[in-house]
Amino acid sequence: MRLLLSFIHLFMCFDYFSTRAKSNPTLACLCLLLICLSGKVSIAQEIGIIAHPNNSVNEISQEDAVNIFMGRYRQFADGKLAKPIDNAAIKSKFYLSLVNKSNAEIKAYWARLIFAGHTLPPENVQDSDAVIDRVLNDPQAISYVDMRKADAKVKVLFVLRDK
Amino acid sequence: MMHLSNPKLIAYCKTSMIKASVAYIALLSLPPVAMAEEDSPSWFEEHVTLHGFGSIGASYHTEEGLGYRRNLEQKDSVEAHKLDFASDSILGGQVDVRFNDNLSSSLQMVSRNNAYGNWKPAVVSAFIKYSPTPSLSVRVGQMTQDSNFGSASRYASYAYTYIRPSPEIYGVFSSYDRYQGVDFDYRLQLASGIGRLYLAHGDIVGNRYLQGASPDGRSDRVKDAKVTAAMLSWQKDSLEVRAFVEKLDFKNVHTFDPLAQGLATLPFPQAQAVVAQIDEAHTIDVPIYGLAAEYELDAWKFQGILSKYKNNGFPKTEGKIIKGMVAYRHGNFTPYVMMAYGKTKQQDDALVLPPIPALKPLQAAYNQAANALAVDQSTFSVGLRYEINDHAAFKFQVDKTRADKSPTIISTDPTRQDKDMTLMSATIDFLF
Repeated sequence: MRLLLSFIHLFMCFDYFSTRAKSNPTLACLCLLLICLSGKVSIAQEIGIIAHPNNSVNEISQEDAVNIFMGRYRQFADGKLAKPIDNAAIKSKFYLSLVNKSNAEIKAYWARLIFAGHTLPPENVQDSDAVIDRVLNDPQAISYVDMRKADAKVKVLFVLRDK
Repeated sequence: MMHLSNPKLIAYCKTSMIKASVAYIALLSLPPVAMAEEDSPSWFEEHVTLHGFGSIGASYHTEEGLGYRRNLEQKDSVEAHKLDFASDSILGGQVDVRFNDNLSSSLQMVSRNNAYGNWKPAVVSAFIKYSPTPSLSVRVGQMTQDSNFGSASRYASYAYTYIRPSPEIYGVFSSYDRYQGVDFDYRLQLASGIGRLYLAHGDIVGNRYLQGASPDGRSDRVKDAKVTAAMLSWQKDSLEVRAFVEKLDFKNVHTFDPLAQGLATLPFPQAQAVVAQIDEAHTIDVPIYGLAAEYELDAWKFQGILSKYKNNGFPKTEGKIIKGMVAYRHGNFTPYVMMAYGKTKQQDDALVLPPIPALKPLQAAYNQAANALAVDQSTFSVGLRYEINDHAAFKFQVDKTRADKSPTIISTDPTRQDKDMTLMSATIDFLF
């Protein structure tokens, strides 16, 4: 509904400007204010799952990503060990998009595995720059970054849209 | 107040100092920490992780003559009209060391109200894990076997929606699922999901307090017992299904010898039959079979467990366990309902001696022995979990239990036939 209202206001503003000879900054501001008040126009954030450029795997499915990051099956298609790394800056958004779980649910999930002695959660790295650095230094590392910060030096295996 | 010259205190300090010294020497023997540059992590930071968990719990009920316990691993119980902070309170810590991609080790210790009525920290798990391939791992050491949901990590209550694992399922078997031995875990991609084969074998290391084992109850360590377990599971998206089979083998069982000696003097065929049964039951095996499933659908979570077992010792019994849970997540709140049912059935006819006063103690001893591990109990629970933050959760749970026989619920009123009760509990579970 919010998106629809925002669209309507955007269309009204465009229509207004297109029928007037000169732009009116005051009206432009009012229009923008209306857009903001009617609801946010959400821009979907894309999260790219990335790996080392020399990784023999060129793409993975969301299911593969779930298996790797949730500790179920940490293996690439070529049989090599997959080492997942969490990006602390966008970790919440990532898991919400990947498995629709909140931070607390992810903590509870990992508590079950950690204290059963089966496997440990992904290594936690501070931000996207540190993540890219780690991935470039380890051919078996796999992590995720905001696509706007994705470096051309890494290989993007899958793109998640945030929810 | 314990005096400083108390021998027990001195012995405890000496033991603690020895343990602390061993730990310090072990730390010294680790590879040297690299000279710390500004951003360069040490070997310790890269390879060692520390995790902890705990619960602070309070429970209350009003049934006179009854005491509630989570399982046989606890001696003390929640007594009537007393707010109890011991039963659900736990503190645990775990150290994991990753030597390389193939080799790691783990040590977990827990302090809780135990089978001896104290809080002495105990080792839950201590093992070396070797993974020759990403899908195969072998662990050697002390572990908790993982056939059933929640068994291997049951002390970390934060991991679960509910306050405590159902006593109908874990009340008795929690004393028998920790072992020193080896386990094997193999995973493969199967039918667009992940298949897992888990095998375990070892000597059981568990403790228990049995009210029926003697007039004042008895705390003891499980000895001369082995567990062998196999579990197959399949997991896809938010569905996991498991099928498991276990066998517990007990040797040198002489618990009921005094009863047999008493019954051997009686000229009744039924009493002699019980004596013969006890003589054969010096070696007991208990096969257990089960199915379990967990499924999440959006905000809903479902869990179901169905299990059957046989005790081929004394008395010969067959048992079945059923458990179901439904939870719904709404923001930081997760209300849930749970139902658990456990029942054993004695395979032989119960011994009934003539109602002669001189035989009453023997009859009472037989009844106590025959019912020591007998179960006829069901619990309906309603609860609410609230996420305080990413590391802590508050839970409130009401358990309505109907029980004619229960090895976990202590009874101090011999005139009371049932063990029915309504228990109210609240916990704060946390990770650190």
